[in-house]
Amino acid sequence: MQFCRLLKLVSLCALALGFAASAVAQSYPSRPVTMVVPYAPGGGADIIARLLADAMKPHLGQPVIVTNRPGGQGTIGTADVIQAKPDGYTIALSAVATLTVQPHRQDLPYNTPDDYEPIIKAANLPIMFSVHAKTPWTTMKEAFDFIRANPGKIRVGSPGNGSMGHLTLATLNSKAGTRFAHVPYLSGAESIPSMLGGHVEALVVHPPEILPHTAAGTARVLATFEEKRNPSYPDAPTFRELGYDVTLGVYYPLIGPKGLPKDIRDKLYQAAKAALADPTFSAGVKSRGFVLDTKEPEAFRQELWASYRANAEILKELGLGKK
Amino acid sequence: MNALDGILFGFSVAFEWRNLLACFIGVLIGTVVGVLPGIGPVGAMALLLPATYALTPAGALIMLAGIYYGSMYGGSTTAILLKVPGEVSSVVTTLDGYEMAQRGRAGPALFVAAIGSFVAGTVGVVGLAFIGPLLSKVALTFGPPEYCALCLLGLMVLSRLTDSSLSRAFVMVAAGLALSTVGMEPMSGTSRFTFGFLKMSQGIDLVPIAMGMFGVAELLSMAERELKTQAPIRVRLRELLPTKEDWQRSWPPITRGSIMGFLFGLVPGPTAMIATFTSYALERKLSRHPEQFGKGAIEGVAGPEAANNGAAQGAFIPLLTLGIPFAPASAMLLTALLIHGVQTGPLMMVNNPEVFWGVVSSMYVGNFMLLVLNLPLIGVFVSLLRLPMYLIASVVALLCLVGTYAISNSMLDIWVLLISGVAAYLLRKLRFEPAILVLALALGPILERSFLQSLYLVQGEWMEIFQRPITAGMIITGLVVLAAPALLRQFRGSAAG
Amino acid sequence: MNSRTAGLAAAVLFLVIGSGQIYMSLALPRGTLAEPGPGVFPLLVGALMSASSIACLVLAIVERTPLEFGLLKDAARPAVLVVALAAFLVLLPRVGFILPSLLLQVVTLQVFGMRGVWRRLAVAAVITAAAVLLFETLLGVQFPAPTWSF
Repeated sequence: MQFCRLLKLVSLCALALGFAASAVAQSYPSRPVTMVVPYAPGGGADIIARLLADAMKPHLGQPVIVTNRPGGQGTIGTADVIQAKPDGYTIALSAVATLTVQPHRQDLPYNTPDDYEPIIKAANLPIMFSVHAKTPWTTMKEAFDFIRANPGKIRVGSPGNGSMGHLTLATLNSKAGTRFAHVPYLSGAESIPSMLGGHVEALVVHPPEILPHTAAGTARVLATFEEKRNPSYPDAPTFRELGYDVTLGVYYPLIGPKGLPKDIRDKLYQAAKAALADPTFSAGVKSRGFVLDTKEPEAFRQELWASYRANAEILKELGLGKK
Repeated sequence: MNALDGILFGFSVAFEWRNLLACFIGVLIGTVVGVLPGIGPVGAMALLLPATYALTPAGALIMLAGIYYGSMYGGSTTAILLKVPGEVSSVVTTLDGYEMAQRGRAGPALFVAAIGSFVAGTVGVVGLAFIGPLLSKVALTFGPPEYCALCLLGLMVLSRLTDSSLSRAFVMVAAGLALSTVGMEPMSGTSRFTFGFLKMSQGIDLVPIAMGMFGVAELLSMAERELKTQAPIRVRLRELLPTKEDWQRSWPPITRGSIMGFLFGLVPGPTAMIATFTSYALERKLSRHPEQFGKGAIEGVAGPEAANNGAAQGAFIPLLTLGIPFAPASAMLLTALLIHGVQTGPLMMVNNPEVFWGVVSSMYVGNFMLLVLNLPLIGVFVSLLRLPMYLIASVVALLCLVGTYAISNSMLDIWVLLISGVAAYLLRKLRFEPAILVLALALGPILERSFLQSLYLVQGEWMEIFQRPITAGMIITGLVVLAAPALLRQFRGSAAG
Repeated sequence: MNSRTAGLAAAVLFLVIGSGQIYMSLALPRGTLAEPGPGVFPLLVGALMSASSIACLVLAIVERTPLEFGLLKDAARPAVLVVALAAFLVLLPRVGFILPSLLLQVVTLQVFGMRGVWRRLAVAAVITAAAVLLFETLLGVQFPAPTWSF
């Protein structure tokens, strides 16, 4: 019985605290929230942002309006939001490379994960190695054998210089001792037609972009840079299985400006968390190849720090850092 | 499903009352957005995307596509009446359209622009339905080297756009390209030429420059002229319609422009713009009165306007048949499809025929709606020119400023507007053509990106770029365009001698 | 300034801009031919600018046809207009939209020959109100909030 009473007391306190907190943040949100996507429409971040914004609306009680502000590998829109007024009406759905790779490559208005407020990790997006259907390679091993015999003769398109795809390819080259030639595009969406037209032989690419083309039989996925095989491509091994420990991926952080009040951040976190748990939402994003992986704000900040440090190492090793 | 069955099936989708309404709302918003400078179709589509969540996927795409091609209709209105091009693709229309308006012939200019747009839209839809799926692969033959060559060809055509001397034209080309290098370099993300302004790393937006170099500069020239000659332009009602001669002179450019625009539209990229000025250069070359160009030649309005709309329709082919967006507007449509759970890509025609054929047929319906919507408006627009000069001038000043500010709520943009306005006012006096600068600025980023990507692609073996058949063909065409006048003179000279 | 001097001055100005761009591009990394850096393209553009401005310079010396109208023949009215536009830009972020817009309208109307102070003011008020209604209310453009600081 003692335990029961304690439980009641605790829950009462929690309730009171909750009320107090909601009284403080009651005024928020009193108008629509702007979610900036620092990339062009049609890419992974844009799709997840729009789905998330729509799913957050009932939980937040205000619409969330998505605006695209592309440029500079996402740094421009991201910097805009980080420097915005921390009132919770301007947030960004950025991507891991923009937040933890670009600061090592150039001077930006933000640097470490302490310079902004992480709200939630929206989703993971795997990176895969895909080739045109007309190329002779049906397994990754054949591709490795070919590139060893003919260094530089497989050209691999990536979503951009300093993108996670680029880092992944460069890490693979360094660990496997291969020389896959790198061709940077502006986005994943831009790299696809170039491979379909045979201008490059292969791509490091994300599932939502390549799925329609593997379904139509014009492209093949040979291997994935995930920890486990991807459910959409059960026959494509991981690089770890092939003996190269390259496990990298993309994830999409929802962030707010530095100094975002805790109660507002928590409101946004709760709304986003509820949205991510919504079954129609999660079914929708999973079918497009995203992997849901919700993290609460502070644990997520730690993960961003881990990426920030790891990417610094990779860039230094590959000589891609600040000149 | 063959094309005829497809179109009939598409009409059954498009004529469903909700889709008909969606189409109407789309083209109406598109017209408004097109007429107002500064607010582009992409912004309007992004704003209205959430409103389409309640519609079926076909309905959503019908409405958003309507905004897109609807804005192409309206885009020429301010360019012709006020010399304020709301977007790059109507820059060329200002050259002769505004001159026609100054000579009291705004009515025929707007009329021919609307008819040209309608014809091109129709050609585009028919092409899309019948040969679109066959031609979808054409887009894929264009890799970075082909884009690079296309941009170079574009610049060479551009340098022959007006009759300014070749060296002056190339100064303007270089100035436009130089402005395009301001900001973050696309491949590496390095900031260049920002002079310490963080905002400049975003690069210089095109619309403020275009509106400044035309709208503001024209305002300054108007202020300079003797005020006595500033009597309002007289427009009589019977001068609203094109004359028989106008029609005879407009049909060939409209036909050529429609076909050329459609073909350019198939090849993705900056093609709508290249199509407009290539059409202009071509009509100027073919015309029996090349000296009238730049002074109100109706061909200079008819051809580019048709080409612009043809390209807008052609651009739907890579999107609908391959699921690949090549322009911001079609990327927006792709996002809409993805959000509505339509699996885009080569299989969309098979899996979601109601979306593919519904949109194609609705575009035909929408084009008709646009014609009905736009023709009566011409009278209204033209009568605006009867207002006193001072009213028009102050409205234009405010429209340029607020329209530019509205693009991205940026103060830097309106400073760019003012500075480029003053610059263009002075350049004009020195016989430099600002239109060339604006169009080169628009081509710059694509040229640089495809040039660098090509070098990556050929691993530094740069001769390989020119050994590809399409690039070689385009470069040779460009050189012929450049050298043609000199060669012709030589030829005539030796024939005479 | 006669038109020939103006043509020469313009060509020299463009030559300076072109060489300036070459100079600044040389400070940027150029990479290799297989992995070109951000300095390559600006360098080529700077070269194009310099070469064509030299051609213009030659043209300006050789060419006999004068420019169509003298430079700055009647510069007073355009100059007033430019000042009014610049004032609008300076004031907008500080005092909001309405006052700068009124000011700009009044000046523009005067430059283009409208008579009567009160009539100008009335028309300026109507245009400003229409702009607020159209852009702020209907299209949702957010003008900068006045800070009242200089």
